[in-house]
Amino acid sequence: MKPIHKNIFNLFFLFIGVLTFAQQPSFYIRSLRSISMQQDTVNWQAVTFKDVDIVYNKIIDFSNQTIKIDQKGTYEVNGFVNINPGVFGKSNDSIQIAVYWIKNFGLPSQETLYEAHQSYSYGNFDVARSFVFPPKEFTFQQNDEITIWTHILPTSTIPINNNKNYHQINKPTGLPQIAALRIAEVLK
Amino acid sequence: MKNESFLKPYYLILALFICGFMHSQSYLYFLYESSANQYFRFHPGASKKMLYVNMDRNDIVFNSIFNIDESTSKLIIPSSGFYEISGYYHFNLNTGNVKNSRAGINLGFVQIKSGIEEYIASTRVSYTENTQNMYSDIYIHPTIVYLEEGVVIAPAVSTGLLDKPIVNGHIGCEKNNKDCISLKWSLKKISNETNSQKYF
Repeated sequence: MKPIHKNIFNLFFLFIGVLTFAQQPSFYIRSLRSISMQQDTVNWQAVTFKDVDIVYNKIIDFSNQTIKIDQKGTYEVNGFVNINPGVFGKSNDSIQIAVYWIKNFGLPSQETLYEAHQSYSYGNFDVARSFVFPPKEFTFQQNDEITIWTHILPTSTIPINNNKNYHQINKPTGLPQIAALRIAEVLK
Repeated sequence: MKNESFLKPYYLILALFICGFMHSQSYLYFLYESSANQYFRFHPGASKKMLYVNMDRNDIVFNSIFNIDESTSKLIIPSSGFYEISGYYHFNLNTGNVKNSRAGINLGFVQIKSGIEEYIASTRVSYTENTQNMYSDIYIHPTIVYLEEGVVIAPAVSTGLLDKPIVNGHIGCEKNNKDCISLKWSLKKISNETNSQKYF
């Protein structure tokens, strides 16, 4: 014979279970602050997020600014980074920047999930544009880590704005968006 | 034993009720797809002026989110929660004005809350001499936002950073492809949780 309070407990856990199931297993994070880049055509520079940047999270182990997959599975990933080099130049100058979305950076299992390239030219060296990662499905293992990197390509003929107070990853004029990443578990 | 047999049917009925309720929540979805044309004027310095895209009830493909009748003129979020929004514009800046000059244009979706218009999902495009006079596909990829009951949601474009006026920016289709999709967007409710979101 089950005491009545055990039944109530079971009912409570069933309710919580169903409620949890009803929420889409996704993760969305966006930067609340602008991010500075250095003039460096050799090294990649990380785009990081903080705890307060999380909008929605049911699937990611987020700690110490790392985005780790909590459970093996199939996931859809997309995102964007808005970059404005913030300089002027001459008519024959150009700046090439790449943004990479990487799985397990620096590990043997490193994989480029997506890379977006943009070339800035005379007249728009100081106009922001979105580097866009369109939705794409991936199979991830537990503890796979997702990172975002920018790289100023060595083909660039002029440096980005190097003023330490200037942040290249920033809100474009008229928009509040800076950079964001979405990871959604694909339920099959 | 008496207690257990008394509760079991209620267990089942309640579980089915909750499942049914949650199942219905998961289909709160809106899909809009249009081939309509619309022209936009972009002016230097007008980055705060939202240029809204006209919508047509007949272009609503599916709707289980908004309460819409013949008098509806705005899409109003009926219940607070987390939503996923995404969209697509077939857009042509349609000008020859961009030559070694700034032409940043914003495309996306706006919430109007207490009279304040703000992009909740967006893509920024910077046009050049080579891209100023051609149709391109501008995607606003899935973005998760917390929307409060009562806020208005609308597709909109706006001037970003611009040097010269643009008078014929065009959402629409090429002459030889009049039935293309010029605007498509969807909104899906993904959670009923309560929260708040001040920044996007």
